[in-house]
Formats: sequence, structure tokens, C-alpha cells
Amino acid sequence: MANDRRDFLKRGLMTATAAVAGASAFKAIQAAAKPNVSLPVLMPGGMIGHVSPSAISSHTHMPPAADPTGRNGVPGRRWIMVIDLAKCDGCGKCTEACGKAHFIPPGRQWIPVLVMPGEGLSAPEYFPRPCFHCDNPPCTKVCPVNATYKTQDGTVLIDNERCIGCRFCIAACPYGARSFNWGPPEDPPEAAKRGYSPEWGYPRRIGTVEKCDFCPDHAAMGMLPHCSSGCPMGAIYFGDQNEDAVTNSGGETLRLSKLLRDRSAYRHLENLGTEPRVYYLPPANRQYPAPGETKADAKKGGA
Amino acid sequence: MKLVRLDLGLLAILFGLAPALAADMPDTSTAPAATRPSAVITLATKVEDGQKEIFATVTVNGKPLENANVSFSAPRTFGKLILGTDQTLDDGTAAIAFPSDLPGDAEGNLNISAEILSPAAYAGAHNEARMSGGKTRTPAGDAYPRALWSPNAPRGLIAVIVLLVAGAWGSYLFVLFQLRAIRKGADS
Amino acid sequence: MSSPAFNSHGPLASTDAQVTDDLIATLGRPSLFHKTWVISLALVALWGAVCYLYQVKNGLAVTAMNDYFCWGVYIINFVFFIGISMAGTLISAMLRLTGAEWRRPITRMAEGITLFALMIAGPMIIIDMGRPDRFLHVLLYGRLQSPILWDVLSLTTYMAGSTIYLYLPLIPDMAILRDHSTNFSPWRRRLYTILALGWKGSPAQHHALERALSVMAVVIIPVAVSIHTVTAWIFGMTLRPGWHSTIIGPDFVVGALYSGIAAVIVAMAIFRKAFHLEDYLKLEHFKKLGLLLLAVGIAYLYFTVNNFAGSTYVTGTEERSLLQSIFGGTYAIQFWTMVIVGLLVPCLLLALPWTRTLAGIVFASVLINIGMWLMRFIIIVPTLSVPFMPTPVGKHLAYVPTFVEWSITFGGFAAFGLLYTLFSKVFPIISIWEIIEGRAVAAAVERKH
Repeated sequence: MANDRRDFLKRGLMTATAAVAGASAFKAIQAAAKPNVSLPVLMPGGMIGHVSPSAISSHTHMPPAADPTGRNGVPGRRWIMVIDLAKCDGCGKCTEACGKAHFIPPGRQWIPVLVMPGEGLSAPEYFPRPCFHCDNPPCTKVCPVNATYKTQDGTVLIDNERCIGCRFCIAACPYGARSFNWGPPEDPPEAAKRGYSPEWGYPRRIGTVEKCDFCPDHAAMGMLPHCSSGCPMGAIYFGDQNEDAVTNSGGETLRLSKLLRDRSAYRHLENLGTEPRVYYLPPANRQYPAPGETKADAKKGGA
Repeated sequence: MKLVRLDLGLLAILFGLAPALAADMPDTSTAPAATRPSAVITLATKVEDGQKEIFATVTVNGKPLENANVSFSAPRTFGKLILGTDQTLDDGTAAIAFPSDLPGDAEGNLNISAEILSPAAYAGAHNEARMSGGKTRTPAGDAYPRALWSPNAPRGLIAVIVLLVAGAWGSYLFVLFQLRAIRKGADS
Repeated sequence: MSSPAFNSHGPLASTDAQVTDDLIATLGRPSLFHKTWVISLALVALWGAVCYLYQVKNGLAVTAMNDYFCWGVYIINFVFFIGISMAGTLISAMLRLTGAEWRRPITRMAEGITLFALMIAGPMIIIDMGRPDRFLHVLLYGRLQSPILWDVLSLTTYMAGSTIYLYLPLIPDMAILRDHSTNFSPWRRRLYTILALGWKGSPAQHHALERALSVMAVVIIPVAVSIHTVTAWIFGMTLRPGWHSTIIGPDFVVGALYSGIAAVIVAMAIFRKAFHLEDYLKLEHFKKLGLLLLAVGIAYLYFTVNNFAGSTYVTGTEERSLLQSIFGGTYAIQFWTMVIVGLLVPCLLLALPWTRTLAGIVFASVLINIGMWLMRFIIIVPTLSVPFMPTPVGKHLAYVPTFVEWSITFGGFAAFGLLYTLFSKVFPIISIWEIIEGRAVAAAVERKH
């Protein structure tokens, strides 16, 4: 009887200790890891060991490739994005989330938040600009080796095992969505763990092109791309055109056709005939100040 | 550190993690089910005045529940699409128009959900049903048509290039024959 | 119709044998000046190669190119060398087809310019590639829809055609050199014998040669037009202002003709001086080419005006920034230098009779070549400086070529000069049999009168 109680107490204490250790480990991984801190983790065999944060990789943002060849995409889908400029406050968290997930080197951005100057008397606006994954893409037309191509789910991807670095696609894209690896890439060791796929674009190769990829590995698993899920304002909606629905980071799911009609959606530089797959909702009734305005100005402007 | 048995340790980690994870999730009621009367929702479609509608009938212990706010939704890949909300009448029914233009699966079947939003006592009770009548998925067209932007070149373009290149190199071949004639002329 | 006084085929009182000896003499022992020239060119070319190896190791980051200026000096050089390659086609093919007798001393040096310009243009493209190790991908995975593929096909077709067109009229000269073998070392004798293809000058052989030359003269013209057109379409098939122009194809063709003729004139002047060919390359040759150059120059001025007229009159938003930058902004110096130094001044020098001297024509040609390199700069760089989208906050757009880019550029020019110089010492730079043939033609014409 005494042994049972002692056993129970021992097990209870161990449970409590491990529970605390587990919770604190999780919180520590979540927070920015400091280089000299070591974290307790449960090892195979039941041991508790200590490792440095750099050895811990969070696998929540590393689903498998939707298509192992990286060339075909998933059948039956047509990914589409809607960006609500009324909700965009220019915070740049989308840029950050994408950059972190793709190990993008500093100075380069796959979805920069541009400041569109107002034409004539119009006010300026914040303008997150991913690759538009056009349906009539000027970039894939000019690639001499089929290194950049459009998959059946509408995504335009780049195969960096094929790219010869001629930069014709960069010259051809009117939206400036592409970047080039001019020098030797400086990917962190974490980037190599996953193996290369055109669906996420790392580990990088010198002398090749890269750009926003619509996170097809995530989309195929029902997870929003990083820019969309990372937007604190819920300004970036993503969905399947075939389902007629788009969702933002807050889980707000809307009928795509209704949203585009009611909010007078448009595509950027429509007249160039590129048929972008990213629609913008004009910032009528802005929720946040326009670039260069203070909060007071925005209130005066009068919603 | 002390040796801990694997199974217990794993359980412990889960319990430790749960509060941290739960911070991101909405609170679910933990009151035991036995003390709460459960609301039951049944879903059906009916055509009323020429319009197809989805009816949700809410009953508690067999009696219809009035003035309950019911939300209808259809799941999409990334989230739940709210189709509409309605308040139940005295017969416990709430209805919205059937979304016949919403794309379903290949045959046009839709998964419809209904969930009670209020009163709080019954909030969260839900039911799903598979209904036909949505828009059928149009079969995907040719993913790689012959086009300037696709991997497959338009036939006309191929024809023109082949003709031009063959024309030029064909004349080079003719010249090669003349060179052969010159060489032959040396032997005679 | 050439008068008896104007005999463009060698000195008036000479014999065919004298002509042959004169022209074979160009292959004689190189002078000290010549040796110095060759060594200097080789050193510059070598330095360019060393810089290229440095670039291969460190990537294109050693250039000034960036995500906005994705193309720079290497593409400028590429288009420039493609441009001067029009020379051979014009002189050899067009003048041959029109029966212009005065072309005879110039054909081989013009064809040489074409071949060696193409031999530098090709490597320039590879130098510009981010992954030159994957060059074979173009052959393995090529997409026929891409203007680069069209350029590869056209370039290889033109290079093959130019080689054939350089070799065909070389055959009888090889036979002449083979028969004068005492002048030459054993390896040269072997080379000339092989290349002579057993030429005896028999009627049957002449017939075969004439047929081949006629076919090549006709075929090489559309091929040459195609290479300049598809090179223009690399820019024309994008949406950018300044590039997406309907006349960019013809613009490049006429520009190529312009810079090509100028290049031939410069080459003529150099060979005339270096090999003492005053009796063969006479003032009349320079004047005739000079007038042709003037005509093409006026045509090119017309094309340049047309390029900008429409978008100056009604300016779309995309074109506004471009025109501002080249007419009065960042690139105004390069643009107006190109117009004045490359177009207006040379055309004036060629048009006015008192400046249409040998020195004037050659000077105008040098200005034209400088101006046309600047023209390629104006075509490529300002358009890249005005992207459709605003730049992210804090980014500054500028392109100032680095030391590596300049070294490789000069290396490329040095390599061109080196190949051309070595060619002129192994093969007679003036076509001996064509001069002799021309003397016979002129004599026959005289007898008729």
C-alpha cells in the first residue's frame, strides 16, 4: 500500500515536472531563441536532454511538396489571391512572414509593401505586391529552357535546377516580381534540411531566379500562404477559384465572386494583358491611414 | 536528470503543451454533458414559392426552440464559408436560400453545416448534411495548351521556324555539294 | 561605269603578276609594330579572360547589375558586335548582287569582320549568363517560343553562313598561295593546299564556285536580317517602354548596317596604312562607302526620330519617365552624345564635300562606332531604370559598370582585334583572284569603247 502511494507520488511529480518542461520548451521555441540558452527536450529512450535552439526546427511550416516533380501542381485547383487595400496599414508583416519562411536574404523581398503614389489628386496607398501568377504570363513566354512554367493549379514556379540565369524573365515581368541570386547564396543550414523543390525555392542556387510561389505546398494541405496567414489585419485573402471562396488570416471566408463584385475589385496594370491572378480591393473607406498621413488626418478624411 | 518512463513522459509533455496551444484556440465549454439539455438540429431542403431553401429544425428534448440564431455554412479548403444566418420561428425552423451557384464537387454535392450561435446555453450545437444542387465543378481544361506561355509551342510557330532554318541550312547543303564538285574537278 | 582613269583594280600600269606579288606581300614577316600590336591585344584579351574567371567564381555580383538593371554592359557588347557583323553581308552579298565592281578589294576584310564579330558576340552572351555551366540546357530543353532560342538558331545559322561565305571566295586565293609556295613555311603550304580543295581554275570548278557564291549571296541577306531582327525582338517582345516598339526590328537592322559600314571603313584605313595598300584601297573606295554610310545614316536618323516621335507627342504614363530621363535627366548626356557624336556630326562630315576626305570619312566612322555603342547603352539601360512599379522605400536605382565589366569589354574588343589581325597575316586580306578578275573585266570594258 505504501509503495503504491509512493509510486503514485513519484509518477505525479514526474508528470508535473515534465509538463512544466514541455510547456516551457514550447514557449522557448516560440520566442526568439537566444544563442546561449539551451532548452530541455524529451529524447528518444525517455531521457531529458539539453539542446541549443538552433538544432530545433519547427516542422509546422514544412509540409511535403504538393507535387513531387514540382512541375505539375495539383489537379482541380486554381489558386487565387485577393488583397484588401482598405485593410492594409503597411505594417510589412506579410513581407516578414514570407521572408522568414523562405529564408529570404536581407535586402530582398518576395512580397514587398510598395507605396503607390497617388496619380493626379488621388491619395497614395500601401500596396503589397506578390507575384501575380498571371494567366498570360510574359515571364514563362520568354524563358528559353522552360525553367519557369505555369502549373495546372495556376501557380507560376521556377525550377532552379534548370534555370540558366539569362534574366530574360526579370526583364519581361512588368511587375518587377522576380529577384536574382547574383552572388553565392547565404541560406542558413536549416534551409538544406528539406531538400529542394520549385514549390518553396530553397536551398538557393547561385545564378538563378526566384520569386513569390503562392506557397503551393501549404495550399495543397489547406494552409494559407505565409503572407496571408501572417497578415494581422486579415488583408490578404487566398483561396481556390474553383470553389468560389477565399479566406484570410482571421478565418474569414467569403464568396470570391461576390467579394470581387461588391468591392469593385481590379487587377494591377490590367491593360498589359497579363491576366493576373491577384485581385485588389480599392481602399474606399480606409481602415488605416494612407502613407504619409497620421491617424488624425485619416479620421478627418472622414469615414 | 532523472530517468522518466517514455509513455508517462509523453503524456506529461502533452499536458504541458496543451495550455500553451490552447491559448490560440477558442474556449470550449467543459461542463459535463449531463447537466445541459442538448439542442438537436435536423437539416433538410424544401422548395418554397419556387425557391429552394435549406431548413434547419432545432429541437430541445423534442420541443422546437424559438428565437435561436442559426448560422449555415459550407466548408471550403481554407475556412468555413458562412452562407447566412436566420432566427428560428416558433416551429423551431430557420431557413436560408440554397446556394445553387456555389461550386460543389463533381456532381454538385455540397456539405452544409448548421450551428447554433445563441442562446448561449445551446451555442455550439451543430449538424452537417450532404446536399445536392450546388454548381457542378467544371472539368479542368487542358492545363498545358499550345500557347506562347506554355511548354508546348503553337504549331504555326514551329512550322515557320522549321521552314526558315531548313531553308537556310538546305542552301548550305547545296553549297557543300558545289564544294564537292570543285574537289572532284581537281581529280579529272 | 568606271572610267579608264579610275581603275579600282590595282595600280594602273601593273600586271596581274605584280598584283599577286603585292597582295602576297601582306602575308610577309610581321613588323615590330605588328608584333607589339598583337602582344598588346593578347595581353588585354588575357586580362579579360582572367576577370571572367573571377566572375565565374564569385558570380555576377561582381558586376553592377541588380534586380532592376538585370542587363548591362555584356548585353550592350553583344548587341554591338551583332550589329557590326552586318558589314560582310552588305559588302560581299549586296554589292556582289548589284554588280558593284568597286567592292573587290573590300569583300574579304568585310567578311572577316562579320565572322570575328559573331565569334565575340556568342561568348558575350555566355559571359552574361548566371549559369554558363548549364548552357547545354538551351539545346536539351529549348522552348521555341522564346526569342533567345530564335537568337541562338539565327546566330548559329548566320555564323555557319558567314564561314561558308568567307571560305568560298578564299578557295582560288588558296590555290594561288599554294602555287607560290616558296614564299611560305611548310605548315602554311600544307594549310593552303588543303584549303585550296584542288582548285585548278577549270571551267567546271569556276562554274561550281559561281553557283555556290550566287546562292550564298542571296541566302545570307535574309539570314543577316533575321539575326538583327530577332536580337531586336529580345527587347521588342517585352512590355517595357522604349522596348515594346513596332519598329525595333527594322531599327536594329538599319543600325547594324550603319555601324557595320563604319567598321569596314575603319578596318580599310588600318590595313591600308599597315600593309601599304594605297594602290588597292583608293580614295574612291572610301568615298563610295562613305556615301553609302551617309545614306544609311540619314535612314537611321529617320528611324531614331520615329522611335520617339509618337511617345513624345502623346505620352503614356510608362513612357513619361523614360523620355524625361533620356532627354533631360539621368541619361541625357549619353543620349545627346550619341545623337550628336554618333549621328549628326558624322553625317555632316560625310555630306559636306570638303570634309569628305579620307581622314574625314575615317574620323566619321570612328565617331559612328563610338556613337553606336552608346546607342545600345541608350536602348538598354534607361528603360531598365524606369520600372512600372515604384521601388520599395529606400531603394536607389543606378547602374555604373564595374572594373570587371569594363575589363571583359575591352578584353572582348581586344580578342576581336587579335583574331582579325592573325587572320590578316595568314590569309590575304584583299582577294587576289577577284582583283585580277576585275582587271580583266575593266580591260574588256575598255576594249569595247
